[in-house]
Amino acid sequence: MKIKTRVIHAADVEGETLVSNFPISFYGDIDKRSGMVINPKSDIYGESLKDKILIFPYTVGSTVGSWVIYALKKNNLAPLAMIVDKADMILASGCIISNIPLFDKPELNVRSIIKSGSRIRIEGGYIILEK
Amino acid sequence: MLELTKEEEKILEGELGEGYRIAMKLIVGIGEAFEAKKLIEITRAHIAGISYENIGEEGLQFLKELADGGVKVKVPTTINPCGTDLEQWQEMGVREEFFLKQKEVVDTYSRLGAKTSCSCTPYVIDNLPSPGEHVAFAESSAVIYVNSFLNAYTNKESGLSALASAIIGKTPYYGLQTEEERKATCYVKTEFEVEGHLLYGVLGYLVGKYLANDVPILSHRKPSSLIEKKEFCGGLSASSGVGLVYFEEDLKREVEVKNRLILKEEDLKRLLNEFNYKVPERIDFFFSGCPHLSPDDVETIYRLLEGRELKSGSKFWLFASKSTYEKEALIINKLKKKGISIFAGACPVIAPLNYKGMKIATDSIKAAHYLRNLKGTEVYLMDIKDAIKNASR
Repeated sequence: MKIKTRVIHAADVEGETLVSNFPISFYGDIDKRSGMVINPKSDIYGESLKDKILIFPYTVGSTVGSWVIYALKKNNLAPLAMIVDKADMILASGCIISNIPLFDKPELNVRSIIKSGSRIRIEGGYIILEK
Repeated sequence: MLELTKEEEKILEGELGEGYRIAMKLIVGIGEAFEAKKLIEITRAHIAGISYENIGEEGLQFLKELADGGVKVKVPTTINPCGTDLEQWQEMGVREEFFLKQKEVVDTYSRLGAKTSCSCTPYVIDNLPSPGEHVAFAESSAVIYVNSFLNAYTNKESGLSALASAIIGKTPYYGLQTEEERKATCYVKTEFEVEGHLLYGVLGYLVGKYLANDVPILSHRKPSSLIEKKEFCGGLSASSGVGLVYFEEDLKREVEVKNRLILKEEDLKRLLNEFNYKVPERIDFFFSGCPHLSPDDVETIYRLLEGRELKSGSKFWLFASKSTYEKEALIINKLKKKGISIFAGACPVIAPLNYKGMKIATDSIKAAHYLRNLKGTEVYLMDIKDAIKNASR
C-alpha cells in the first residue's frame, strides 16, 4: 500500500512508527534531555521519540518548540521522521534546521491505518506499508 | 507551488554558504507549508526567543555557527527581551552562570548584525514600521500592534522564521502579508466600556479567549494612548492566536462578517475575579512593564511617586528596553534613589527566577497570565496607583 504525502523536508527513511492521536507541544510535552514524552495526558506518555517515525495530528504551544526539536537532534534523541495532518511554523522550522524529514497532508488518515510499532518506509514522499 | 527566482534558487543551493542556505531553506519550507506562491521583500525584522532558558545550549551553538560563518542580517533587525538585565543581573537575583550564557546569546545576535536593545516593544524607539511596510516580526503582542495600529504587514513569526527572514531579507507571501487574509472574519460587540491601560489589557485578553486565528472588528472604543494600546495587544496575545484587529470607529463602510460575538459586563467581571483584581493586604512584589515601559510611562510613574519613597521591604520592579533606559537615565536614577528597581532589556516572565510562595501583583494581564501558568505563582492584578499607595509612603 502506498500513501501520498506533501513533502516539507525530504529524505527517504525506513523505521518503526510511534503514533499519537493528540497534538504535541514540543515545549512542555517532550524532555529534550531524554527524548521521552513527559506529558501524562498524552496517549504516548513515557515513550521515547528516538529513531521513531513519529505520526501525530499537529503541533501546538510555544514557538520555543522548534528549539526543543533541534536540541533532540543534537542530543541524538530525535525522531527519524515526522508525519502530521498539517505542518505549522513551529514544526517546519524545527525539522528544517534539524534536518529531520517532515511530511504532511497524507492522502489517507494514516493515524487510523498505521499502529505504533509498525515498520514503514517513506520513499519520494510516499508512505509505503509492507504486506 | 512556491516559485523561486534564480537568485533565491542559488542561495538555496548554497551559493552564499551554509548559513544562508539554512535560512533560505527555512523560508521556503514555511512558504510551502502555508502554500505561498512567492517570496516578498521585507524592510525590517524583530526576533523573539532570546532567553537562554528557552533556546538552551543547542540554540546558542546554532546561532554561533551562523555568526562564525559570517552571516549578517539584511534589514534593520531588533531582538526581544532576554532572561536578565545584563548589567544588573545580581540585583535581579540571577545566577552568574546564566548571566554569562545569556550575554553570549545577546553578543551573538550583535555579531549577526541585530540591534540588541532587547525590547518587546521595538516599535516605540528602535524599529518602527511605516504604514504599508512588509516586515517579519515575532513577539505576538508586537505583531498585533504592527498590524492593527501601524497598518504595516506581518505574520506571527516564530523566533526562527523571523531570524531567517532577517538574514535573507524576504518572507513567504501568505497570511497577514496578503490583503485577502486581512479581511475581517467576525464582529465583537462589547456591552461595556473600559478605561485605563490595565483594563484595556483585560479587554484584549477577554476578546482573545473566544477567538482562535480570527480577524475581529471590535465595537469597543479604540485605545488612545500608547500604554493602552500596548496592554491591549499584550492581553490579546496571551489568550489567542489573533494577529490583527480592527476597531469599528475606524471603518469607513460596513463590513460583512460571518460570526458575531457579544461580550457582557458579567464576562469582564468574571475575568477580573479570576485574575484577583483587588488590593490584597500584603504584596511581596509589584511588577510593571509587560510589554516594556516607554519613556512616557517611566515619566508617569516618576510623577506618581513624587514626594514618596518606597517602604522598606517592598519590592517594586519596572521593566523597559535598553533604549528607554538610556533615554530616561536621569529619571531612572531618581527612581532608584526612592528604592525602585528598574531593569533594562529583561522580562520578569522568562527570567530564571523562582517566585513560589510570593504574593505578586502587576498591572499587566499578560504578565499575570504567564507568571501564573509558567511559574505557578499567586498573582494579583492591581492598578499602578494602588500599588504605589501600597508600597510607598
